[in-house]
Amino acid sequence: MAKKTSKASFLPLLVAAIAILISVAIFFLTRSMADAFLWHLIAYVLTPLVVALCLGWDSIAQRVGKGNDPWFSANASYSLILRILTGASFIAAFPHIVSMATDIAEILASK
Amino acid sequence: MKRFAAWALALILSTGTLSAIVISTPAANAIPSIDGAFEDLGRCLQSQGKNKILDVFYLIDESGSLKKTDPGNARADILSSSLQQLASFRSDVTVNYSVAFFAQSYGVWQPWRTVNKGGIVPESGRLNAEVRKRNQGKNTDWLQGINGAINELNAQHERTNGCSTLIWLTDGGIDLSQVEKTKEAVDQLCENRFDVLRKNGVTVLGVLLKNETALANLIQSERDYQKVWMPWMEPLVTGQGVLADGTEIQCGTFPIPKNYRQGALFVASNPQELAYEFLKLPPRIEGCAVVNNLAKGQFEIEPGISEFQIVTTAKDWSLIDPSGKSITATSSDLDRFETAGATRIKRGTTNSGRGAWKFNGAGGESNLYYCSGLDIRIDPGTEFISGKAGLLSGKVISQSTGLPADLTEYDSDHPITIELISGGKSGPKKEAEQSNPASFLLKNFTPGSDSAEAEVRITLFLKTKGGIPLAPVSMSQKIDVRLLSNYPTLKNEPIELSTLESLENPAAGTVVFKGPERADGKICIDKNVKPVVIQDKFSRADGYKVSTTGVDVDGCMPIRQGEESSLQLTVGNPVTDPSDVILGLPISYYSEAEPGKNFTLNAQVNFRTDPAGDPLLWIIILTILGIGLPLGLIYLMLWWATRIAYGRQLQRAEYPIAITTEGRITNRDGGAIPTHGENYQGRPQQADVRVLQDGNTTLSAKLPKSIFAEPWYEIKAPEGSRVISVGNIAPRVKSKKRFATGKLAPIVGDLGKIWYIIISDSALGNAAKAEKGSLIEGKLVIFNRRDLTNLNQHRDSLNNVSSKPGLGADVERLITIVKNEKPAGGTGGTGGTGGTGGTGGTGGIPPRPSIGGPGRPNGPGTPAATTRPNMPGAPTRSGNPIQPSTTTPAGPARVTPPSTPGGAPSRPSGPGAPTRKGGPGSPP
Repeated sequence: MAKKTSKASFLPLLVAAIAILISVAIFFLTRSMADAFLWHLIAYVLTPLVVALCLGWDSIAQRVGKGNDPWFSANASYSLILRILTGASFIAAFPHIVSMATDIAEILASK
Repeated sequence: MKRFAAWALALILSTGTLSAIVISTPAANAIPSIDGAFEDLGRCLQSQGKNKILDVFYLIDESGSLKKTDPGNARADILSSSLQQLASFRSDVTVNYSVAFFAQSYGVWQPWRTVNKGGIVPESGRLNAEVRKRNQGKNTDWLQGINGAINELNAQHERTNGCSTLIWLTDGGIDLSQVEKTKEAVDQLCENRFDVLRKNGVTVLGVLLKNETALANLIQSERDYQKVWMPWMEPLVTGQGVLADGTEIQCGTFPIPKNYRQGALFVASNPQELAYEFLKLPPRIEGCAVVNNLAKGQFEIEPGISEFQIVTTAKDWSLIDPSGKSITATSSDLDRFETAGATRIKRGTTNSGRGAWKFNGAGGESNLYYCSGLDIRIDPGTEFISGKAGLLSGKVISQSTGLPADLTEYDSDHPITIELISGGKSGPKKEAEQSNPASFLLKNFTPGSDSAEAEVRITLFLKTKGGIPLAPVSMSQKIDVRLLSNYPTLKNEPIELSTLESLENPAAGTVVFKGPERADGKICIDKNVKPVVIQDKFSRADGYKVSTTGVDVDGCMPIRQGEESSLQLTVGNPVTDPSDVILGLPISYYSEAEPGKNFTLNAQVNFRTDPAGDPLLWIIILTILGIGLPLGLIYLMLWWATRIAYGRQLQRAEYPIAITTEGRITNRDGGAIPTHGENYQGRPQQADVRVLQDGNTTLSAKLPKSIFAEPWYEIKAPEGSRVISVGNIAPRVKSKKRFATGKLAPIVGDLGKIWYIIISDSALGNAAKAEKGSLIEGKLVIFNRRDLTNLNQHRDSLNNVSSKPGLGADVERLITIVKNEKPAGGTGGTGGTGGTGGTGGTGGIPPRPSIGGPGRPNGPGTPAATTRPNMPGAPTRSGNPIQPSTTTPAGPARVTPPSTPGGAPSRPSGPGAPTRKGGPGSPP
C-alpha cells in the first residue's frame, strides 16, 4: 500500500498574512478616530503577537511532523516567509504601538 | 426632496399627456419659466431637511365644455394614475393632497388627506369615477377656483409648513355669466390673486387643454370669445404673457422676485412633443444637469455621478453598459417611464455602471442628464436672525445614504456660496470655508436685511473630474427678522475657553451677556445640549459634554435691561488628543418685550484639546516597551518551540570506521562495513529535546540572538575529538566561523536524519604525518527511523553518509586544523577512537599500529564489533524476517567492498585502548 505523505501546513502562513492585513486595515480605519485604543490593542495583538504565534505554530507543527512521520515533507520556505512576516508585523504594529503609547502617556502625564 | 418635485412633474406630465390626447393643435410649447418653477419647487423641498412635506392641490375644471374637449374622459385615468404615483416617494416624505372642482361654482371634493401606500389604489379609483362625472358645469369661473385654492393652500400651510403646489387643469378661457364680471375677475386674478400665490410660496402648474378641433367646431362668437380669454392663462401663471390683440401684459410683481415662487404653464399640442418636454423636467428638478455629448452616442459615467437619465423620443433605443451588456426597453434592470411616445430612462450609478456607455436612439431626439444625488444640510441650531452675527455651518450629504458626501470625487474647485435674498433681490455672495469630509462653515455671518422677507440661499457648484459641470445643489432658509435690541447679546464672541486637558480639567471660561436695551431678557443653554462640532481633527463629537454654572435648574440665566451677566461654561471630553476645536453652542435668547418668542443661535466656542504635561518621555518609554515586550515573548516562544525532533521509531547504529582524505569510509582494516539490522538499537519514544547527550557528544538546539534569524542545531565533539556531521556539507550553513575548528558541527533538527563521525585529534595528527590516502580511524553514528517498507534501510543509511560530497575535503580540513593548532596539554591522552576488537573474520588489512596508541586510555572509543546484540530497550529484531543481516554490496564507489567473506579481520586491541564495556563511547 502506498504511503500517504504528509506535508507542512500552509495555514500558519495564511493566518499570519490575514493578521497583518487586518492590522493595516485598522490603521487606515482609525486614522481619524479619536478614541481608538481598543482598535489599536486588537491590532497590537494581531501584529506582532498572532503573527509570532504562527511562527511558533509552524515550527512545532513541522518538528512534530518530522518526528512522527518518516515521510513528512517539511517546507523550510514557510518558516522563512513566516520570519519575514514576523519582521513585517513589527512595522505594521508600530503605528498602533505609538498610538497606544500616546494614549497611555497622556493619562500618565496628566496624573 | 427634489424627487417630490419630480413627482409633481410626473403628475403634470400625465396631465399634459391627457391634454395632448384631447387636443389636435400641431405645436406644443412649454412656457420658458418652467425651469424656474421646478427649480423653486426643488429648492423648497431640499430646504425642508429630513422631514419633507409636499402639499398638492388639484384644481380641476368641471365645465360642460369638457364633453367636447375630452369626450373620452382620458383625464380621469391620467389624474387617478398621477395620484397613485404620489405614493411612490421616499419614506421620509409626507405627501398630502386635496381635490376641488370648479365651473360656475367651486367645491372641495377631497379634503386634505395624507397619501399612504396601502390605501392609494381605492382612493385613485374614487377620483377616476368622480372626474368622469364632473363635466356638467356651466361657465368657467377661474376666480372662484383660484380663491378656493388660495384658502385651502393657506390653511394647509399653516398646519404643515410644507411645500405647496397647485395643479390647475382647465380646457378654456375664463367664462362668467357676464363679460363685465369676466373682465373684473381676470383683472383681480392678474393683479392680486396669482401674485398672492407666488408670494405665499405656491408653485402653480397650469395645464391648458387647447383642443383646436373642439375650438373649430364652436360657433364663431364662442370661438372669438375663447380667442380673447384663453391667452390670459399665461400671464396669470407665469407673470407675463401676450394677449390675443398682441398686448404684452404683466401680472403682479414682475420680474418675479427671487423669494416668490415661479409658475409654469403647459399648453398641450402634439402629444409626443409635449410628453418629451415634460419628461425632460424631472431630471432637472432632481439636481441633474443636461450634457450635450449624446450626439456621438457614447458617454462616460465618472465617479460622483449617482445617476444618469436619458429622455428620448426614439422608439427603438438600446443602451450598452461598460461591460458590454445590452439594455433595451424590455430589460428589467432599468427604471423606465413611457408616455405618448417619449421615454425617460433612469440608471443609478453609485455602486456600479461607471465607465463608457453607448446609446443608440435613431429616429428620435434624445437628451442625457447627469445627477450628483447630493443635498445640503444646515447644522442644527443654525437660525438666521437679521443683523445677528452667527455661525453658518452644514454638510453636503448623499441623498441616498444621508451620510456626508465624498467631494473628492469631483473637481477640486467646488465652491459653496452663501447668498442673501432680500426684498426679492440678490445680495452679495460669500464663499464658505470647506473642510473634510463635506462640511462647510461661514464664520460671523450676519444676515442683514431691511426687509421682513429675506432668505439665505446656499448653493454648491460642482464639476466632474473630467470637467463636466453638474447642476448646482441649492437650498434656502428664511431669515427671522427681530428687534435685536429687545434681546440679550453675547459680549464676547467667539467664546474662548482654556485648554481641555482631561475630564478632570475641562475647557472652561466665562461667557458674558449684555442685557437688552428696552426690556429684561434671559438666555438658556439646554443642559443636555449637544454642541455642533465645526472644527476638530478627531471624530469625538459624542464625547463633548457642556455644563454651565450660574444658571437656574432649566439652564437659563435672567439678564436685566442694560446690565451684564456672566456664566461659567465648561466643555469636557474623555478624549483629549491634541487639536484646535471650534464648537457651535446653541444658546436660546428670550425677551420680555416679545413674550412667547425666542430664537436660538449657535455661539462659536474656541478651545484647544491637549493633555496636560509632556507625555513625550512616556511615549518613548511605552513605545520601546511595546516593541520589546513582543520581542521578549517571541524569543521565549522560539526557545520553547525550537527542539530536536526525537519522535517515533528512532534507531541508532554505531560503526567503528576508517576514513580517508578522499572521503572513503571503510571498516578499520579497510574492508567493507557490514550492515544489518542488528547494528541498530531502537530508542524508546520520548519528548523532543533541546539538548541530547549521546555518549560524549552533545546535540543541542540553538537560538540566534535575533528572533528573525533561523535557529540551528549543532553537535559538540568530545574533548580531544573533532566531528563531521550532516550539516557540515549542507549548503545552508552560515556560521562557518563557529564550526571552523571542527569541535562543533551543524546538524539538522530531526534526530532521525542525523549522522556524525567522531575522529580523535591524535588520529588526525597521525594522518597529517602519514601519506595521503591512509586510513584514519573514527566512529560513525547514524540515527534513522525504522522503515519497515525498506529492506535495505540500514545499507541506504550508510550509503547516504558515504555518498555525501565534500566528506574527504572535510577530513582534510580537520587534519589541517589539528596540525596548525598548538599542542594543548592532555590532548594526546584523550584521543582514541579505536575500538578494541574486530568484528571477527580473518585476513584483510592488518591493523594500523598508530591507531589506539599509547596515551589514549579512556578515549571515546567505538564499539569493537560491527554487529551488536540487542540492547535493552531496543526493539526485538531477531525474528524480523525483513531485516536480514547484510553486508554492503557493491554500493557506492567510495564504500570499500569486503575483501574477504566474513568481514574484516579482527583487530587486536591496541595498548591503551579503552575498555569498551561501559566506556564513554559506548551506547547507553
